[in-house]
Amino acid sequence: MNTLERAQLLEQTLRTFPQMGMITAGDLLALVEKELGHREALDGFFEYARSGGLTIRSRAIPPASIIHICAGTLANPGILSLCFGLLLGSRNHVKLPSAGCPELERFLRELPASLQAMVEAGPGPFDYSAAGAVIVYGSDETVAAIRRQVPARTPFLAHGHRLSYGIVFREAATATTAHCAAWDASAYDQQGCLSPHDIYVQEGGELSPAQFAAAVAKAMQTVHEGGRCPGLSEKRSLGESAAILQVRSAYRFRAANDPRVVLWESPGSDAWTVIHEEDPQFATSCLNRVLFIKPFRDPVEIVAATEWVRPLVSTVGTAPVEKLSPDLQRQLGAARICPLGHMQSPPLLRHHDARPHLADLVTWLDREE
Amino acid sequence: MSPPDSRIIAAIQNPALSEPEFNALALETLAHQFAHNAPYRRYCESLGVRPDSVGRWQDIPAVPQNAFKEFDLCTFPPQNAVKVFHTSGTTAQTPGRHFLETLDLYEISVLEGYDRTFRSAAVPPPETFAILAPDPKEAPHSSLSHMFDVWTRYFAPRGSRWFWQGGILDFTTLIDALEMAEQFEQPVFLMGTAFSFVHLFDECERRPARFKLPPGSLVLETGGYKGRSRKIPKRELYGLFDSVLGLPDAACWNEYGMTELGVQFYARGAEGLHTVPPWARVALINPSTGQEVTVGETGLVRIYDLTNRSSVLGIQTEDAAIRHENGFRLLGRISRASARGCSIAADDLLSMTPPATGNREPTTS
Repeated sequence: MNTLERAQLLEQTLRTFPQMGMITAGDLLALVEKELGHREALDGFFEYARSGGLTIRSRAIPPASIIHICAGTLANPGILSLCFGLLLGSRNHVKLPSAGCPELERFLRELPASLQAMVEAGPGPFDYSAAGAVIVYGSDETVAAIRRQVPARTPFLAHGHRLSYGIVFREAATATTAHCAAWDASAYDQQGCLSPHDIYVQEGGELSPAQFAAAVAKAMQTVHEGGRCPGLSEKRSLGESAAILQVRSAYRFRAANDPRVVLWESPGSDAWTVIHEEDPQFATSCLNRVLFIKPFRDPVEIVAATEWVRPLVSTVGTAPVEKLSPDLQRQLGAARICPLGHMQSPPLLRHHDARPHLADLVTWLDREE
Repeated sequence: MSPPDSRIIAAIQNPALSEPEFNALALETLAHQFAHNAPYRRYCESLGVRPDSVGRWQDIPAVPQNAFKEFDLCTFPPQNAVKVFHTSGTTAQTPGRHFLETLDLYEISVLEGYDRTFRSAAVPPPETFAILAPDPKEAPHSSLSHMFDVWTRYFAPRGSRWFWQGGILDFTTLIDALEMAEQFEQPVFLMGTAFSFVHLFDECERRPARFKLPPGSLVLETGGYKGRSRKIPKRELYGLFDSVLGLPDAACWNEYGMTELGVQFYARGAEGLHTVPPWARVALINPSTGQEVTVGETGLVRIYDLTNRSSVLGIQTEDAAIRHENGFRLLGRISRASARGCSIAADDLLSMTPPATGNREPTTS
């Protein structure tokens, strides 16, 4: 089976997973071309370069096997990881989360037989010493525990703890932008590393930061009731509910004693929570749709306020996105800047945690002729 | 209008305090705290609660335990406090502070708690205490040290010794004392934090040393580990009380208390239930609904304590427990979720501390 055939089979399955962004075979081939230099780089030699009177012809060799360790909270990264392994033509061992992951399991069931033959899924354990590559999604502890078992020469792609936030410049401080922020903070119950914990809102816009927070709260309820946002759940574990109660009661007490603090909550449930506070310090959410809104005047305030989480920053959703300069992006340490409202739907052709999807996994055969 | 402290003391000392009597005192205390504790009043008002709108103690607003870190929750000027207890924790965290207008209520509660728990047993408790905690001079803001100090004054006529000195446990003297107790068959009451017992057991393993403390000896462990030692499960800790000290399960007690409260709850043995004395109530709350859970269910511990007349009556803790007919089975802090992905939640970031900022001060009015 060549790359085109594998991409076409993947497209068939991905059609029933619209939350993945309706990825087509053409998208997958474009990714191969972008990262490996040629659509058929995995199928045979192609002209890679000319140098010193020689033509260098190269072929990308995928790892014979890839172990994918998938997180239980969110199916999408696991599905995408497996897609890449199948696109490369590797044999794939998928560790299913101990608590189960229904969407990932459905994806495995719906793969065509010829792709299913390239996949083994189960709880493990796995022989890491025999793996051609290992990809891990999970907590830093999970990543560290697996890294210890993987030989040093085996490619090891780790996607550990990350967090994201949003920035709204004054020209975009509107109810429409508030809806975008609510969408990003609601999708997948804020479980993913692309989910914003905080939204920084610049003063002086159509809506003040506090008014913007009120608009976000209203939009959180609209999104909650709308039925279109992916991954919403009201099923909370006792620990998750306890964490939400703890945050809400602490901020209720603050709000009662400080008019600069305002708390909005989903009526009669712990579905969502929005908190406005002037303290610029980056606040980490307990997740499950608990979002902080904070004011700023100058972006340098955000640079200072987020310094303590800088190594963990994944995405900064911005409105308008062009307002955030490359220099500011560097200062914020954000690998990815995107428009607010698009944080949770990253394009296929992008870098993930600042790394390519495929290029780190393959090795190369060169013929200088 | 506050109930006079003498009425609260009488209630603490009344083993037959009725539900209506408790309720009446609780409502009077609410009225007092609403009138004189401004941050608490504002909290009640934000919830739409006024003293005249509440008829049951269960409806009295409970303050999140963390609020003690940010607000002076007292019914009097804090500079007039006769005692200020501080919560322990990592040095990066702001301690919670509990201001006491009088020590009388606190000390009566502590003494009654001891009396009800230990002196009502068929075999009276030892009159020699071995305390694995710093004394009040070394830890003037520790409510635990103060409690042990009150007990020693009343219940340890044969003497007590404090083995935590200068920030470390004095193993040599402690192990000598345990050897003497064993040799002269002199029962001893060991009391201290769980982590100090772990330090003792680690030292006993290193030496090695083992004891068979005489019958009648007791041990009381309390508090979390707070990163001060390796953390071990309760059942394992009680196994070590048996194997290293020779104390059977029935001689081992846990105390559940906190800096922000005057009342303590005691449980006997590794599997024992914590019981609630008449001057306090424990409601276990479903965090999703805010309602009390039924028997057999798990909820978050909310405590109402008449001893807290000069601060706040009701405190919402972050601890979980299972409700039983005659008490509760403490589970402690519960983890947020069993399975996590690549996102990071507040709990996971405890090792990374944001710099302190200044605008969480309450406004004055």
